[in-house]
Amino acid sequence: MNIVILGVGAQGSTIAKHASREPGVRSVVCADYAAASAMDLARQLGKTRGVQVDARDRAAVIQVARGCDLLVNALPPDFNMTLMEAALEVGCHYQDLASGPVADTDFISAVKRQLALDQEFKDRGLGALTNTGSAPGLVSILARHAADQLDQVERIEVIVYDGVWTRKFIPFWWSPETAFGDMAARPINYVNGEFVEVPPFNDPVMVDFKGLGRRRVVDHEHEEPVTFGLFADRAFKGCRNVSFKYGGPAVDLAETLYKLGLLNTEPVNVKGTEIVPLELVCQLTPPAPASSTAVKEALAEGMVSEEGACLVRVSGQKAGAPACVENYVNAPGLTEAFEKHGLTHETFLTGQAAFMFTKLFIEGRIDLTGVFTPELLNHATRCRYLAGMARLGVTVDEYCISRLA
Amino acid sequence: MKKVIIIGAGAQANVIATVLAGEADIGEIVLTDIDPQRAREIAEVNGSPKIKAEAIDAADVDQVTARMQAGGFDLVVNATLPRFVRPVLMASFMAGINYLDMASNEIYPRPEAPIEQLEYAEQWQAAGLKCLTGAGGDPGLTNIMAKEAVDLLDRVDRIMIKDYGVVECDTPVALWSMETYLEDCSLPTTIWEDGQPRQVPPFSGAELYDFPDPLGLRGKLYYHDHEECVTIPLFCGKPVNYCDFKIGEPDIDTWKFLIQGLGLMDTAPMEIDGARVSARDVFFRKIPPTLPPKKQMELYDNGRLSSRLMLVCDVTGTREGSPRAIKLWTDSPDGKKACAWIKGANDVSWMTSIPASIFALMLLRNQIEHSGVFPPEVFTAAERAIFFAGIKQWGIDVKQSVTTVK
Repeated sequence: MNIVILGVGAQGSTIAKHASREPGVRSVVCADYAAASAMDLARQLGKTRGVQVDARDRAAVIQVARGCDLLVNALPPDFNMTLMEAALEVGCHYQDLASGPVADTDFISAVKRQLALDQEFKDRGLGALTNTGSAPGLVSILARHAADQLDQVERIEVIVYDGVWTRKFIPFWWSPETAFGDMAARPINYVNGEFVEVPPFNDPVMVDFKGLGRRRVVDHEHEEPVTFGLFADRAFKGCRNVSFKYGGPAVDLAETLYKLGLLNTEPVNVKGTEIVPLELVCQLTPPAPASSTAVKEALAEGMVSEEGACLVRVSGQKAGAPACVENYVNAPGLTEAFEKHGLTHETFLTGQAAFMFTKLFIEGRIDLTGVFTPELLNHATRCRYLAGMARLGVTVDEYCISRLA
Repeated sequence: MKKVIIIGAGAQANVIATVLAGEADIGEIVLTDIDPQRAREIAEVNGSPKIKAEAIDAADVDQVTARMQAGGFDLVVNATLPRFVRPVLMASFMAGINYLDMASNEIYPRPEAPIEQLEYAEQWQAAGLKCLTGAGGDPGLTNIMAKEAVDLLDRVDRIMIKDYGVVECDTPVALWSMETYLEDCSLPTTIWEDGQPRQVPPFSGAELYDFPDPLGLRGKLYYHDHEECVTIPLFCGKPVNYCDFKIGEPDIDTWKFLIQGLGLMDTAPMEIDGARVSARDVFFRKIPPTLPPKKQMELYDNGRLSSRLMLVCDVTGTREGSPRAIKLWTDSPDGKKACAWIKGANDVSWMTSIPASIFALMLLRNQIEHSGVFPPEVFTAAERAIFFAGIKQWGIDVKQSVTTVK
């Protein structure tokens, strides 16, 4: 198989490293706007070459993708449509990591317009697998696995807590502008079978995570409520309630800034001058560490806390009685991820999770055509996926809780 | 019939005027503010004919002195901002009237006079006048709690005071001045260590503490610049090795990140969109103003706001040779109850102003023997008993536990 990977950031380079070692892969093309990054990465890997490409330019993407069997989109979701169209044109499979948020339309539309290409991919006998990171992605597999065990599915909750906090003040491990934008976005919940937009930081609750304790989480804009809702009948036994909740010190910080109005883009008059509060906050927020030296320095100063949890809770009925399946993802924290893999905890988990979907393509395990998400994969493929993740050091603990009727 | 003048018609004056007006031996309460409308509002809401509203500029010593001399007052209650301590204190002295305040503006790591009020000690002593300073909740009630424990010990080792408040609301609110709180948070703090005061950095001394009921939670606290940890070792009557004051609330780490991480309290001008302003200018433009009483009542009434405050004092030492740990803590009305009891009050103003009112009544009734400039920890056991009985009538109960280590 020949693979082209668009974007050689943390995710793209992880996928490239793994893919280049796969016996079923003949060649890997790493394409990025930053030519030097693509070339550097390619030099370190076998069977790989680096090229420069502007992913906004469909013709240019088609040119580099020509002759490939799979296009992996490891760029921000804004490029999804251009790259999907390029894959159709070239006649290759397609994989991306997220549907949104995107600049030019709302979150639900961003998902729907990808799914609208379903028939075109089907007609060409191609598969387009979207939302293949850790969340969504790995958690989508877990949600479906759990739903399959129940007779009736009433509620799916995806709950992520990120309590990695370094002594050196680094509130976000990705761009502060993006982080503040994501945090202040209006989350979408799937409630009683309908999509409901709620205010940012909606519905704070304390979740008692096993082995961690009670932590505060709030609603957060994410793909799961949207795609699980859209595929409720196909994958989740008609489940009518899906939420995504997120928590941690960075969320608390953003929440306070948001509620004080410091993330506003409306100017305020400060001593006779019009100032946009968000501009100030972005200017004051330290950037995410850009190099492994910077991460190393931050780690050397020590950690305030290094805890986290990724929980998928599916509740419903089993044999006439209430039942609940909880899946906890076990993944390394920042220190371990960095020492073992040179990655942050988040990029490690997302990168491994994404590659494992690539591997399903490489091994020909994906029998679906059209545009689909991980929750639509069949049972055997999902099992294969989780076994592969375990080999990469990401395991899952499953707890089944049932009550007598 | 006694006559009282209150300087500053804010949240504290609202409670103090109400408590004093309800006492039969108090005949007149002159409530003053630079903005007489604020004083008039309190008088109107309260409705007592004893309360009279007037305009006064607390910064103008001559004006305040003249008003005090003309009035034949028995007590000055300084309920304005701490930066007016010096002028109001001086005016009271010149008018020859006993004085009470609830805070200091200046706390220094100097053992001879760690707060500005103590600089005037000799002249007040010589005149036989009484200046009861730091006579609110914390400082005030906390000093009395510490003294209670000190009297149960032969030797005192450590005195540790904590203030933890929870405010829950769906929108950002401030029950007291957030500017003052954030400014205090961003400044170095004085604690008492190895028998003397010393400065420590802001947000140091992090501690997780399990608060007893009715708060019943584990909360994070940091050192906070406060009067009692520098006056108690000087006035409690026994040598104290260590004394600190810590403050906490569920959002304290967020403020720490905003102040120390983002630098939102920095005053250096920076360039934003081509304009030059400081981070603090923008920050202060966005932080919520102290809740106006009407809005506060509305939020409590429709269940959108709930709040509770607790003060704790832990004292360790020895008694008859065995180590002993004494804990005193408050059980007081939550915000909703306080606001229903006295309109416009909340848990914080209650905890400050009910003790202040009782202290004021004790001064007016000649129930405090001490004279000169002094904080409440000089009180005798009998004086403390009067004080505790007084605040209990207004729902503030102080609980105590003693642990003896054999």
